[in-house]
Amino acid sequence: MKRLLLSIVLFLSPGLVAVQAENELPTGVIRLKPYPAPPLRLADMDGQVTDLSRLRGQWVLVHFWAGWCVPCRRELPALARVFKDRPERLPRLVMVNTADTEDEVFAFLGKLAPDQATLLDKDGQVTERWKPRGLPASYFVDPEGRVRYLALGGRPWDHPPYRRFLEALKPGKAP
Amino acid sequence: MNRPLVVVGLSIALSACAATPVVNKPSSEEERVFGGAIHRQDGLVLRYRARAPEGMAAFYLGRGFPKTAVDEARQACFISFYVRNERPDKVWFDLSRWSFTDRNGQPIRRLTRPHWDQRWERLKVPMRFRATFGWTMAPELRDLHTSEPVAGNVTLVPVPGPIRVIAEFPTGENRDGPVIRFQFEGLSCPRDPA
Repeated sequence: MKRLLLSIVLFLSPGLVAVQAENELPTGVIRLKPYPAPPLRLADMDGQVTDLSRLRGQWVLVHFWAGWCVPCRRELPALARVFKDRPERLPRLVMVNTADTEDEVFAFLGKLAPDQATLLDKDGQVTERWKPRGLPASYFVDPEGRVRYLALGGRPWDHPPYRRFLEALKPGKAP
Repeated sequence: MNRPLVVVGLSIALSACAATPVVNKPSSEEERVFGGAIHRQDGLVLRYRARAPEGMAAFYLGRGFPKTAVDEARQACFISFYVRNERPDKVWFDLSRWSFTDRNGQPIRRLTRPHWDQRWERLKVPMRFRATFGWTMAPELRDLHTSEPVAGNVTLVPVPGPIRVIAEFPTGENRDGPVIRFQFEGLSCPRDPA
């Protein structure tokens, strides 16, 4: 009897491990009760408008940041490194600067993430609607337009657990 | 007796007498950058640092704030706090559970968000500056998940002399866990040099 139970456990264990791995999230990333993403329609420094509602069908990482924010300064290069490598395997990155001037944004991005563009929330009101817990804030919006995950504070996105998490976000699939 | 020496000595003695253990080594880069005094207790890290008015003014002026707004902010006492939850359960950062008292034990008035909103409205400060100012303030209430930090300024009506801070942090999903209590006194409102 014991042997039979052991065989069943051994037979099921790879599956159990896989299920567990799927449910594990990197430190500081939390699963939310899904809710519709607040509106987000902003222009970048070139006047190019991005409307979140038009990005349905793919995972979107909405990242709020500001130039005066110390953790943002540390996080942004890691984010830029990951998204420079293989962006096609990752969610769509939508960066939103909160209430800095264009000069500040230009100087900041030029130094820390020269390949990344950002939308400008000039009066900070779009950010307010998202109610971040602080800056930086990273929200993961699923292909149906619902907010599903939140990263608390700045995270080392180029570290393996975070890369794996980002790469696991595919349409029809979630970690 | 040399009064400044007595004051320094007393401050050091009060710091040493603080109820919470003090360690000097920050555990994350965020903490290192933040600087200031550091306390650790029951899985909670708390750092604080009083900000000189000229430093605060430079920060906001450097971001294009109108001079009238900066002059208004200079009247307040800014203390920056950094808290990080290293516990396995939730910790509640709730400013209503904090008290600030002066050397006579009298409560010090905290200048809350509604106070600043009212001032900015009166001074017609543009929204983008109000937003930035708001983001530099500590939240009134925040549940901190494991590994989550929170940082921001608490603003007080300036008082001379040392300030005693008692900060209580309820724990647990429903705030029904043990309360972590910090008490420290080595803090004062820096004033601009005369």
